[in-house]
Amino acid sequence: MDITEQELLKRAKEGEHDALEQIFRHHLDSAIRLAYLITRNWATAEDAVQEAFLQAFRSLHSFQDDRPFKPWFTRIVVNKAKRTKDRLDRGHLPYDQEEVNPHRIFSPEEHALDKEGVDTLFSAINRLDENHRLPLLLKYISGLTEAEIAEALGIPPSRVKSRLYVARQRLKKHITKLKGGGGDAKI
Amino acid sequence: MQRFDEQITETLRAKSEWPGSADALWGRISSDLDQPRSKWRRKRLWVGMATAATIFLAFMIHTMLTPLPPDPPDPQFSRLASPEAFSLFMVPEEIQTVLPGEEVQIALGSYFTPEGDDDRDLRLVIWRSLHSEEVLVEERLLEEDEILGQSVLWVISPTEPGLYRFVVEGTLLTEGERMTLAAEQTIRVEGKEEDAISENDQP
Repeated sequence: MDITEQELLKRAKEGEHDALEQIFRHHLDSAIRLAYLITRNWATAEDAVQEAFLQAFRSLHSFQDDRPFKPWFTRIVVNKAKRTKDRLDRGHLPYDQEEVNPHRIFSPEEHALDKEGVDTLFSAINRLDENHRLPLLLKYISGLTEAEIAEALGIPPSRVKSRLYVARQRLKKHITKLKGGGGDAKI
Repeated sequence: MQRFDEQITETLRAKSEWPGSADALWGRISSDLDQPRSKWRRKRLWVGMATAATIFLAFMIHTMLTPLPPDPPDPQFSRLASPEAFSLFMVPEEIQTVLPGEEVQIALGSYFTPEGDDDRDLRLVIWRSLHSEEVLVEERLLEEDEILGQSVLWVISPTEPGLYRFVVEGTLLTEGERMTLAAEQTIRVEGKEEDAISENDQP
C-alpha cells in the first residue's frame, strides 16, 4: 500500500467522507469488473460491489493500518459476488445475455485484439472451474500478486502458483484444440 | 508467456466493461453510509443486547443463590467473572452461518466487577471445533476503543470453513468503574474444505 492510500485510510477511519469517496473511486474499476466476471450479471455485480464497499467502510475501524487494503477488500468483493452468484445459480435471477449490441462501441482493447481471439479466450476462461478461474481473475483483473491472492482466497501461496500455472496451461490447450492443434496458441 | 498474460488481461477487460455510472453507485453507497443502520439491523442489536442482559441476570441470580465450594479443585472456578463459568449459563444461541472472511457481530455483555477479582486484559479468543475437540485458532488483545460505547464487536470470520466459537473476555476500567466483559458466539463458516491438488496440477 502506498503512502497516499495509507493517508486516505487514516482519514477515512476518522470519518472523512471525501476520503471514503476517493477510496471508492480508486478501487471501483477492478471491483466491478471482478464482481461481474463472477456473477455474469451487471445488476447483481453492482449490488455485490455496493455491499462490499459498505461492509469495508463500516469495518474500517478494525482494519489494521499495516496490512494492504486491496487483498482484504478483494476478499469481501469475492464473497459478496459469490453469494449473489449462488442466487443466480439457483435460478432466482437471470444471467445477462451476451448478445452483440449492433450500436456497441468497441473498446481500445478489443480494437487491439482480434475479435474472434477475444471470444475464444474468454470462452476458454469461462470453461475453467472456479478453483482455477478465481485466481486468474484476481491476478489479471484485480492485479494482485500471488501472495495477495493467497491472502484474499485463504489458501497457501504455493497453491495459488500451481493453480495459475494449471489455468494457463488449460487455456492454451483449449485454444490450440480449437485452432486444429497447430503449435503455440496465438490468439 | 508475457504476451499471453497480456492477452488474458486484455480479453478480461474487454469483456467486463461496466455500462453503469460510478457517480450513481457512489450516491447509493454514500446515502447508505449516512443513514443509520436498517430497522432490522437495529432490531438485531436490541435483540442481542436483551439476550446479553437476560444471560447476565440469570448468571447473577445463579451466582447469588449458589454458594461457592469451600475448596475448589480448579482455581478457575474461584473467579467470579470466569468466562468458562459464564458460558455454563449461556442460553443456547443460534449459530451464525457466514462466508469465509465475512463480517460477524458478537453481542457484548458487561457488568460491574468488585475490587479484588482477577484483572484480565480484554481479548478475543477464537476456537475451532475439530473432531469433537476445540483447537485455539487465534487470540488477540482488543483495543478499548473497539469495545467502549459499543454493544457489539465486529470481527472478520476465518477463511477456513468450519465451526468456530468466538469468545470475548476481560476487564476494563471505565470512568473509575471496573467492568467485566463477556460474550460468546458460535459461527459456522460455509464452504468446502480445500481440495487436495492432484499431481497433474503441480507446475
